[in-house]
Amino acid sequence: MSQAYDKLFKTCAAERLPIWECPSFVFTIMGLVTIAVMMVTYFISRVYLSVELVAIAVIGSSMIFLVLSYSVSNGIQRLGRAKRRAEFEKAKTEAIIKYLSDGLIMLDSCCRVALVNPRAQEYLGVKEDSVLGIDVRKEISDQDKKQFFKVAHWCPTNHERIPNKVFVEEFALLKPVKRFIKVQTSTVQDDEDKIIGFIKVLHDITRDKELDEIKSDFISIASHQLKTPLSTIKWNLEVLNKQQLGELGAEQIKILEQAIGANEEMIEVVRDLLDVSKIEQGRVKPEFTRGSLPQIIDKIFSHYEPLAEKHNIELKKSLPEHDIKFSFDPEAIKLVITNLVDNAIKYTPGHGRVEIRLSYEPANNPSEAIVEVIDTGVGIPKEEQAKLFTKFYRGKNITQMNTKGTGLGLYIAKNIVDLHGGKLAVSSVTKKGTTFKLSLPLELTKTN
Amino acid sequence: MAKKRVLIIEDETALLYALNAELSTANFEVLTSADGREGLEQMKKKEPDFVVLDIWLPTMNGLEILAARDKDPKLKKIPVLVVSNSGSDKTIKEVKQFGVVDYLVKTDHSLEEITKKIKEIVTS
Repeated sequence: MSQAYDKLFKTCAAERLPIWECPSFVFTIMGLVTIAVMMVTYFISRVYLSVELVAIAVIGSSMIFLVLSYSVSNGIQRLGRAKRRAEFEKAKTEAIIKYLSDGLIMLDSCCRVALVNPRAQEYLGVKEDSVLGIDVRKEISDQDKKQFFKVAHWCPTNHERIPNKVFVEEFALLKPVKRFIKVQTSTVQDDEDKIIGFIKVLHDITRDKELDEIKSDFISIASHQLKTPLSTIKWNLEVLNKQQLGELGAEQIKILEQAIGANEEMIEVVRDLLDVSKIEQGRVKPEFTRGSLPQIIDKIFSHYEPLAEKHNIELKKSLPEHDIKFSFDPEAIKLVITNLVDNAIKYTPGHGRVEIRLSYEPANNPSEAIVEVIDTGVGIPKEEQAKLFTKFYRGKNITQMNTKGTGLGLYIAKNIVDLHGGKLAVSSVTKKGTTFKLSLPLELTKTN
Repeated sequence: MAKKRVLIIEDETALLYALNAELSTANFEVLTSADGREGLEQMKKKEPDFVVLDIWLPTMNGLEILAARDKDPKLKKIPVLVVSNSGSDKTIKEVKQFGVVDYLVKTDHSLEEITKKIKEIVTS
């Protein structure tokens, strides 16, 4: 009974129609009223034989009918509008799918092809009806459809979950036109989180790939064209500075040293820019070998000792008694620590202290190597600390100090540390000093 | 002791000049070439004790010179230090396959460091 009732009012409920406008309800009432009126009329005509009473009953029932008819016509109109709206929505969805600039493939919950929009047909060189209903995980021998099934192949099994609900792949297509596409597969779920299918969006990334190539060409040209004159200046200034070609006066030496300094800064800018481009193109891949951090720290320490002395800064290092060798990219990590030490010395005024400290933690069963670079320098204001690792960012207090820098060093360092699955953190108090803490896992948890 | 002979193959004349000045002062006999093909010929004829080689060169690039050296047992004995600004990972990898002394990026190293490196190899 209740099922029949549900069915009776389902459409009305879906459209939020009041019960007095719901045709199925109203027609039922009208039927009942008709029967009731007929019975009453019959009863009156037999018992009272009164024409007036019959007339009143007929007029009364007609009025009830009139009201109900008005009500039901409203309901019918609204249902009609809802139907047209649903049809319009359907047409709209179909048009969107049809004219979408991206390719679209829909699979049902059993990974069978349910829809291939015209753009996807164009990209993959297939007709929709030739692949409809086929499970995408099947091996297909038909040459014409091979490419389609290679692209559409990924479909999670019942228990598999898509990480973050989107799975991304890239493909190089050869036919009908050479192009690169990115395919994003996401799960479609109903209101109760039940998987009802999968959607694959095919995005043409040929232009992006071309731009990448242009960018990488630019980098190689820039690296050569900019570095060649810079190295020419560097080496020739060095020859002059050694006074092999004749002695120089004090003023000349001063000018020459300024020129050498400026040239080194320029070299650093070019190097940083090239590093950033490499990072952004995902071309930086750490070369993991078993290495030793104390050796690297020793090298950096001896490199910076003269500079620290010149600036009247006490440079200290503290290394653990026992070394642990582990897998990391020594060149890249050296760059990171060098960067931290360089900054520490740069932003610590005279009579200050800079310490490089290495430890393995936790002490009883180490899982991480911790390198801390602690200075007693100008510090970084709290509100600026979050922006520290972003590209081209330089602290307000240090730009006022007129210390040169590109604002790229920490961005590069952070990226290198991320590629190692490590962490780079900062704690700082203005005018007291800064501590950078670099943690590297002793066991590589992710493959790069 | 006879002066050790160093051949510099480098097309950038200003760089060639600086390297020449530095190495001559460090008591080397310096030969120079600003052209790839001519540099290889000099390598064959003059039998230097050491070669400083650039990568981007006219007529024949550094990698081609290294490939030619690889096929000639006599040339293969001459230690080569590659000094270039073409710092792409691919080039570095290719160069290192030829068994060179080192690959140095010009902007990252001073003349003094380069001379030190050559001295270490030549006198060992």
